[in-house]
Amino acid sequence: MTRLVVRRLLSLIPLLLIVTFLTFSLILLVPGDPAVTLAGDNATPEQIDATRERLGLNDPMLVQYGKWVGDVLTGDLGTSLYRNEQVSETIIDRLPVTLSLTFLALVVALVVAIPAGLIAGTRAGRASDKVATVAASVGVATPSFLLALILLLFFAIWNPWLPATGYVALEDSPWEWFRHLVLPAITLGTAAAAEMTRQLRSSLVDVLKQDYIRTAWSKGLASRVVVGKHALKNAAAPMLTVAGLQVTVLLGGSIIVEQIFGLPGLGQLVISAVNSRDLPMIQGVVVASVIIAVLANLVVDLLYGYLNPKVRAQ
Amino acid sequence: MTASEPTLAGADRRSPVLSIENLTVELAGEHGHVRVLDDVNFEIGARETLGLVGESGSGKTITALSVMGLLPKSARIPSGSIEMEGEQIVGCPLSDLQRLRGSRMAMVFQEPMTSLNPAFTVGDQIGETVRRHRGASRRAARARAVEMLDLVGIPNAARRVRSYPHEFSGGMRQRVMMAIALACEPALLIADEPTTALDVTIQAQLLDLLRDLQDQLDLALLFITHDLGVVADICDRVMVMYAGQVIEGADAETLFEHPEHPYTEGLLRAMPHIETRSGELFSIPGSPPAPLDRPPGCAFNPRCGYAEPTCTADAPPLRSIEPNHTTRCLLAEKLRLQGVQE
Repeated sequence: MTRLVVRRLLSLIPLLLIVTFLTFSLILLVPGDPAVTLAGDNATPEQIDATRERLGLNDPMLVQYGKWVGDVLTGDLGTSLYRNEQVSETIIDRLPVTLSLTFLALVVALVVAIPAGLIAGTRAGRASDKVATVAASVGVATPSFLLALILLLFFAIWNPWLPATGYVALEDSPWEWFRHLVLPAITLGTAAAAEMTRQLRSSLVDVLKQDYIRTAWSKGLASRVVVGKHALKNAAAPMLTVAGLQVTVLLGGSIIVEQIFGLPGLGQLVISAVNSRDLPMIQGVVVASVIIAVLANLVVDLLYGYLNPKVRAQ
Repeated sequence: MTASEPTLAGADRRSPVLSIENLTVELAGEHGHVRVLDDVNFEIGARETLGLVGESGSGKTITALSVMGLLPKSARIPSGSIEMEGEQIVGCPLSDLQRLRGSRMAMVFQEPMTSLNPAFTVGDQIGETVRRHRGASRRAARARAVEMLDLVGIPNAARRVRSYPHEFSGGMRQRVMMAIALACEPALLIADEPTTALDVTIQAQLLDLLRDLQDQLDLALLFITHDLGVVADICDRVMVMYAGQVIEGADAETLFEHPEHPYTEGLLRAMPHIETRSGELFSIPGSPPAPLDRPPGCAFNPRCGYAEPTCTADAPPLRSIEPNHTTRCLLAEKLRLQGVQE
């Protein structure tokens, strides 16, 4: 197990190099010049040139990238081009918002998907299965901005039970933290819930046909043990894989959801950074996202080993 | 816990452990219900082994699944009775079945490679039954699991309880299946082709083990196989099934030496013998009828070398031709069928 963790963490290095290099190249290909903006409204071409020189924007791309990598290796993610803020500090500031949102969305997804998938999978073909399957299709197909607006209308405007926007840190008030995140988490988690419900349903239908389930019945076990223990542990492995993939999807989706609900997270940060071509900031967010995604998948793999002893042995 | 001491199964040894009367099973198909088991009758007592023999699709497994209450949802039992130690199983509530399964009656399946749950240790899977039926603690269940693994001849039982199924060979997995089945000392064990998927040396070891366990636990054993060699090895009585019906029943020796049904004779001739290894193996021409496509009269008549016009008239009943010897062949008295000598 330690070997798996070490190997995964080592694989982060090449992965980060590739991803950041790609973002770097993409940003430089996009038209627009931060030096123009930074030099101010009435800047002369000389002033703009000077700014460009100061920022190192005239260097060849590889030199710029190499410099950035060198700085990162010394633990310095750089400074925002505009806000005179350390990139690392800004990210550490914003990260809890996005992590809270993603985590709660995942909780929403699991809380919905496990019972819904169990019901649909054990009653395949019956009415409750059909209801769950249709609901899952609707859930997958509903755009998050639409769902967000509907939820806001119902729970924040017509019935002002929950705040429409804003964020309160967990350490300031857990209850307010939760209240501010309920609607965003439901918005973000619905598609994931639907996806995981479908996955759990189909793997459960498959597992329930296996010989070892017949063995479990032949032992006189109660239905809840046959389904909840023998079938679920085997059916959970494919669902877990989906959950791991969903973490990345949720991180991407959080950009839109943070925007709608006014959450000061990484999503908002990256949008403003991209708009202003704030390269160090963009790179910082990319690094943070890659690390989160890899760690999430590492956790999934460790859980996978628990569910599937055959994998553990290898 | 007195889990380690085998108790006598069934107070009265003479009253049968399992008794099946007029059992008929139908499966839902595209064109309504199809009869897959037709009027089956038998009894098994403690320490007795009854062999059910026949080709695939003859109704052997359906019989076994009916007893365990494990028939597919599409199946129904329009008539008949299955009594397990006097308790009626046909139509009984699921909770009764769940109480009997694993504690009074248990089953070992044909596919050792897929019949164990890959996600749990074998110790857990054995102990689970004991916890369910005897309310044993985790620790007592674990101890019982070690004891059972030891009993079925798995070396290093104390260490192996923590192993997962994929760490065992096919033969060893089948031993684990037996350990699960016998952990609560059931009165009846149904073994559905338990050795078919295994190679011959392992087969012989498992049959020896099964016989030992039967002696130790006073088991009534319903042994399902298509292999007559295995039948000769382990069974006291044999019933031959064909197209959902019992077509001949007798004690094993009699059936082998004096078969009274042409189908049985065919099966016996199809057995490979060391003396006849040079010659080609005999095979019965044709294949068994599909349940929807039963010929009129005797179900075997299209494949039977002795068939006469009367064979296609009425369906022959199962009748006694000698004491303890039944056959469905109308011509049994006329024919001099060939058996095999030990």
